[in-house]
Amino acid sequence: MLLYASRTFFIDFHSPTVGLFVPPAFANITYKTFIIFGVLCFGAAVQAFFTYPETCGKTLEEIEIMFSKGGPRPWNTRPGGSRLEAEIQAVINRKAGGADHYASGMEVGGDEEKAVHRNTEGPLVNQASV
Amino acid sequence: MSGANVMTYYVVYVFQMANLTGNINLISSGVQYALFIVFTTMVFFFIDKTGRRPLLIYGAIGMGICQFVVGGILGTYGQYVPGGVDGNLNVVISVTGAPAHTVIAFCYLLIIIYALTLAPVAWVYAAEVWSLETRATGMALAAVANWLFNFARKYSLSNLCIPI
Repeated sequence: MLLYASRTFFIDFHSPTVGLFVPPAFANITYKTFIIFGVLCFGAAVQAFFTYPETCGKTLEEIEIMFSKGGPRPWNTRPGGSRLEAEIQAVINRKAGGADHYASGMEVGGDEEKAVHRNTEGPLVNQASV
Repeated sequence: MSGANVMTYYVVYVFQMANLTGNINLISSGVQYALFIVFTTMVFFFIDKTGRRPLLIYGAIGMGICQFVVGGILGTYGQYVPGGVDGNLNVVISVTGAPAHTVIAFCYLLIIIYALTLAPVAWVYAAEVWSLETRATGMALAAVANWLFNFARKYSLSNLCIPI
């Protein structure tokens, strides 16, 4: 994890050599300085494609799974698709649908639906009593 | 190392190559920073719709293209100035007319692309990829490293500027 995170610095977090490098580079290799940085840009694009998984719309635990061994390949990851969203939607549906929907949901839902039920029931009951 | 720092810290040099002098050069450089601020705020509206990966990948490709255009124009149309432009010994090539305008336009375009993609996304991404246990320490380290590098860069820059 440390290794992966430290890699991300190299997109924006530069080394002091930029200050020592650029003026002499302008003086000696002139326009080729821009070619060097252009190549580095394309290198950064390749690195981002192969090593940076999508973190948009995911929970911290899901991001951790992506960085662990056996996680999905970074270029197969997409924004969103979080389990949290599905759980929130299930709670909203249940509240909107009333008791009938709740009961039928429990019958059809299977393991995941029951897990949601267990996770959300406690706090919801507490809120209601307060 | 995407070269955006060259186009911010050294944009005055680049605009000297594009035949801008004096206050016009300084104001044109100020426009570069104004564009940076304005376009960074716009990321707020779409970063959670597009996701991080497309911004990182296409942003880097777009910046690379801009760098190649600037380098290519300066290489093709640049005239060698032996004593340095305006006595600046670090700027020894100069372009005029349409190629100079192209260089300025692509400097602006590069910083717009950078402000829309890599500049903010790198910070967001660095914050997101830490695990819960290491997050606070990690981000502190990241910020410390970033500003130490900045200090070192500016320190070396100021030393280099004294002879000029």
